[in-house]
Parts: sequence; structure tokens; C-alpha cells
Amino acid sequence: MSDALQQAHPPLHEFVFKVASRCNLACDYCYVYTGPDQSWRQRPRVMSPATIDAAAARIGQHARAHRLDSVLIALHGGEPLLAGPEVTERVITAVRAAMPAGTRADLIAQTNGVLLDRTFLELFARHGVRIGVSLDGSRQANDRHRQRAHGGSSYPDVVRALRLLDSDRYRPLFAGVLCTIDLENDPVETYRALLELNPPVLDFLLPHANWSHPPPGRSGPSDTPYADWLIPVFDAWYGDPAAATSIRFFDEIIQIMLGGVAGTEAVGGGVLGFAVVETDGTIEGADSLKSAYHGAAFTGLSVHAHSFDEALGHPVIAGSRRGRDALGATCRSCPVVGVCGGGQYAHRYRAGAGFGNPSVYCADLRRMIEHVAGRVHHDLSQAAARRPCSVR
Amino acid sequence: MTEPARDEAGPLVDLSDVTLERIARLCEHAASSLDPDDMTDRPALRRALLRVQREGERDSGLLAGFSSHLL
Repeated sequence: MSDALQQAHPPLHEFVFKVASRCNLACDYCYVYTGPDQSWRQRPRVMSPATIDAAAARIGQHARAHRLDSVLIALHGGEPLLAGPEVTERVITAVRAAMPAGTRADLIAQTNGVLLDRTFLELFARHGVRIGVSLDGSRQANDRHRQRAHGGSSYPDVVRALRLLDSDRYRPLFAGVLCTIDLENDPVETYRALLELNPPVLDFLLPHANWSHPPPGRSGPSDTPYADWLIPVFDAWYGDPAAATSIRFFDEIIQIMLGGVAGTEAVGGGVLGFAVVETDGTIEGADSLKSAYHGAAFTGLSVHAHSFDEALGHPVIAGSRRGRDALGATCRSCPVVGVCGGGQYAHRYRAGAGFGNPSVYCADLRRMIEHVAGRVHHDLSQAAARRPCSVR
Repeated sequence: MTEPARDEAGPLVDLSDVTLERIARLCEHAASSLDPDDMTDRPALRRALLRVQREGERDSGLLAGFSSHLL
């Protein structure tokens, strides 16, 4: 790739492997199964050895071409552990074997936790694979949406897995817990329930939504129910002098205010550095695009026939990787844009108008960011006042 | 980075007439001039200061971390 092309399309660093396309839970908010994109129905249940090897080789090719120091492989689904330990180990070993000298392959499994037992944990410990688990809070909060396919709570099995993950032997593998916000759940109770499981990192996700499918519980675009939910959590967390758990969404906002850059697609407006490989080898754009419309993430490219360099220039991949260049005039003139970055790309969608809009969570993001700014500014000012010649 | 004049810093607490953009600029400046160890009672702020001061210069601006549905 020429220097000019590389500048226009920076390389990918993260590859989301859909090792299994089905799930053992039936969460009613799932963007894969209940959203507009139903492409999972046509896909193999589990990634085949040929697809695993082809995907690994393409990542190795990409790493070599761009002299990448490291890549991140995320084992994802559906529920990735449905692929079983043998397939999972094949993915890990194939990817590591395909890396050129000088490129490190880090791996993480994002699971619902139901199947996370000692067999998987030993496998992940052997290969240094980190683990993120999805859980929405207390049993009552979690079971509001995260039910088994035929009903019944997923909570006891997930908590059992999280307790095991927090044991001395497996704790180094514990990446954290993802929680999707439900306004019906009490925010601070939800935060405290998750904190009891001792995750090193917590994240609160805004439910995938857009202007054509607005978020649950909101009556108008100037409503801020999600900020109203998040602010008490922020205050409980930020004001706790012993808080050891990171909350990624808040950490990102603070970091951007301090002049750093975001590491996720939720805020900051950075250039996305990842692509998805489906169980059949199809290369797709960010998974969250599936919440917009059927085929929104589809590229028609496959690891069996195309390189990731070819994917970089595809409109689906390139479009969502434009960072702040993709923002419309409303966002560009907003004083908060430097922090929110326009919010998550998928949340800007409106049928007939595409993605060139503010986020459907615009008002929430602004209120949240202003609240964080007030707290951070106050503390920095006080710290600066204690030090002569520094800034207030 | 040059230090802004004190009269640009605005009020310590009252943010009513301070734009977020300006707050962010002040925070960014403070990040380079404050010692994170002054923030022991604010672990989140301390962590962010450490990370920005340690990693800020070598960051490419590319989202090198995880997508939002991952940790």
C-alpha cells in the first residue's frame, strides 16, 4: 500500500472473530438476533477450520504489510464459547502461528459467561486469552432482558463464572464486565451489584438505537434519560476515594478532556481500527452497524478471496472509519464535539438520511459530558490552586 | 504547551459562563502540569492523568482499543 493510501486508510489493529453465529441466550435487545439485520440466519453455526486458517493468514498478511507491533483478536459471536474448546484453541493457535516476527497477537473472548467453566478457563490461561463477560446488574436487573432461549434466568451461571474468573488463578484473565443500560433498573444499585463481582473494568453501554428506532424510554430528542441514569453512577464512582474499578465510558470522557484520545467507538470520534470476520469468512464493518438496517455492515468481501487491505477502501469499512470527518455541520459547530466526537457512528443513522446526523443520544451525551467537565474542572482547579504557578 | 494566563482560567467552581471547549482546554493544560499523585482521593482522575501523561505523545489517534461491544 502506498504512503498516501495508508494515510487515507490507516491499517486495522483489531479483528472481531465471530467463531459462533448462534447464542445460548435470547436477550430481547440483542442487535444481532432481534435487530433489522438477520444475516446470521444464513451463516454457519461455527467457523470452519478452513475459514479460521484463511482469516489467520489474512491477519498475518495485514500485520506484515503494515509492520504492526500488535493485533487484537476478539473471540465473539453469537456466543463464542458455543464453538467449543477445540475450535477455540484452533483459532488461538492459528492466529499466533500466522503472525510475522515482531507482531504480537493479543486475544480476548467476549462471552455471556454461561459456558465459562474450568475447561475454558484453563484453555484461556494456557494461551493468555483475556475474558470479558456481559451482565446487566443484579439478578432482577439482568433477567429483565438476558433470559435463556426458553425462559429462565441466566444469572446464577454467569455469577458462578465470574466468581471463578475472580479467583487467584484466573484473575489475570479478567478483562471486565459489560452492562447494557436499562432505565427501569436503579442506576446506583446496578453499579453496586456489578462492583460486588470485583471486575477490573466495567462499562455501561447505551442500547443500540438511532433516529428511526429511538432508544427505549425516551419521549423526545431533548430528553436526557440516559444521562440522568448515568450521572448518579458517575458521582458514586468518581467520588469514591477507594474506587479501583475503571468505568470505561467515564474514563474515556475524562481522558479526552485531559487531551488524550478515546479507545472505543462510543465517544471521541476516533478512526475505527477494527473489522469483523463472520463464521463464513465474510469481512464486515463494525458490528453495531447491524442495528441500523439489514446489510449495513455487509461488504461482499471474504477472507477466502480478499485481503484486509482491500477491505480498508470498501465504503462500509471506510465510511465508518472517517472519524470526525464523517460529522455533519450540526456536530462540527457544537462545543461538545471535541469530547463526544459525534457519539457512536451507528447511533447517528436515520432512514433516508444515512449517518450524517448527530447521535440519537446527542442530548444525553452533552448533559453527561458537561456534568463530568464540571467535576473534573473543579478538582483540577483545586489541585492547581494548591500548587503555585500552575493552572486553575 | 504554553501556560494560559491566570485571567483565562475562569472561576474555580462556577462554570455557568465557561464553555466546555474552554474547560477541556484547561483540563488538557492541567494534565501536563499537575502531578497525578496530588489526586489520590480521585482515583479515576489520577488514572486518567497518568495515562494521558504516559501515552499521550505516542498515540496515533487511531482507535487502538476495543470496540464498544468488547472489553
